[in-house]
Amino acid sequence: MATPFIEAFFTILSQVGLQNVQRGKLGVKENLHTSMNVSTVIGVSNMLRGNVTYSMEEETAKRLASILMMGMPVQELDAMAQSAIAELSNMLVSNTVAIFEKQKIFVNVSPPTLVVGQNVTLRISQVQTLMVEILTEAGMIELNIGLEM
Amino acid sequence: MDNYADLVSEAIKSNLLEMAGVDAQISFLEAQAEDTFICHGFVILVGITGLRKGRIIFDTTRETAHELSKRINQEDAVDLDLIIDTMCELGNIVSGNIITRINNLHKDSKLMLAPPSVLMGDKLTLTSPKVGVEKLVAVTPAGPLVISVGFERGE
Repeated sequence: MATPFIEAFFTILSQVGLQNVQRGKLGVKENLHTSMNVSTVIGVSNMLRGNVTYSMEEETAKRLASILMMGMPVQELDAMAQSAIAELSNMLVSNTVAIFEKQKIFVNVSPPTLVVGQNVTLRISQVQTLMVEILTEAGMIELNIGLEM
Repeated sequence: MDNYADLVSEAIKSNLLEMAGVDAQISFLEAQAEDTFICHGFVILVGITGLRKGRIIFDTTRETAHELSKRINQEDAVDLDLIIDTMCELGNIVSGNIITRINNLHKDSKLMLAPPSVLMGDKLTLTSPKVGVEKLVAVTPAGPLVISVGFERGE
């Protein structure tokens, strides 16, 4: 179930200007949690049910937003930079859903919600969660997939 | 709130009375132009899927979450895990109530919910592009609880 999410990263990140995207460490968590300060949360229902997050540190989010905005310097994660990250999440989710549909797995997703703050803790699904590190030139993005079958 | 304000108000009022024994007073807050929701530190986020996509936010302070959890569990002391579980369950039940009422109103909407997420932190903001930020506040003896039901615009 994780492959479409990872595949979408490689497809979309290369389309938006990130040249060096690699898969990092894989891990399993007992529940879906993260303590990174910038996360996008996406709810999933229908044939799969749960939540998925794309999490990163604020500096990574700024560098990523700058790349997404054609190299415009991003000193602060302001509304425009947040909007860029949220739109990237939208593209990632749409691509993931399309890959699932090709496999006859029909899922519905909620609009991505970007969470930004300080000392952030997210506790999401109480299901075993697959964590995948996506390494990019902007920094590491933690993909957390907490889905019930 | 997409003309669902009264329906949301009824759902939160009835569930808070049943679960926590509190009589909430509901106020409607003015709609914001931006897509960003500025939070008070303790948030339950529930994704909506179906023919219309959206999300429900329950936003409060850690103190109010603590106090509501004490009342719901009828315990004098509750730890963070129990507070999180309790607020998740409150969010799940109220969201289920809201979605059921909307589905009954619009038989073809077939709305479904994703499992609730808990977010805690300082200076928390939530941004969902193209999703309306309209909200109401339930004032309870445990403190205020802000509720926002938003759907993607242009659908």
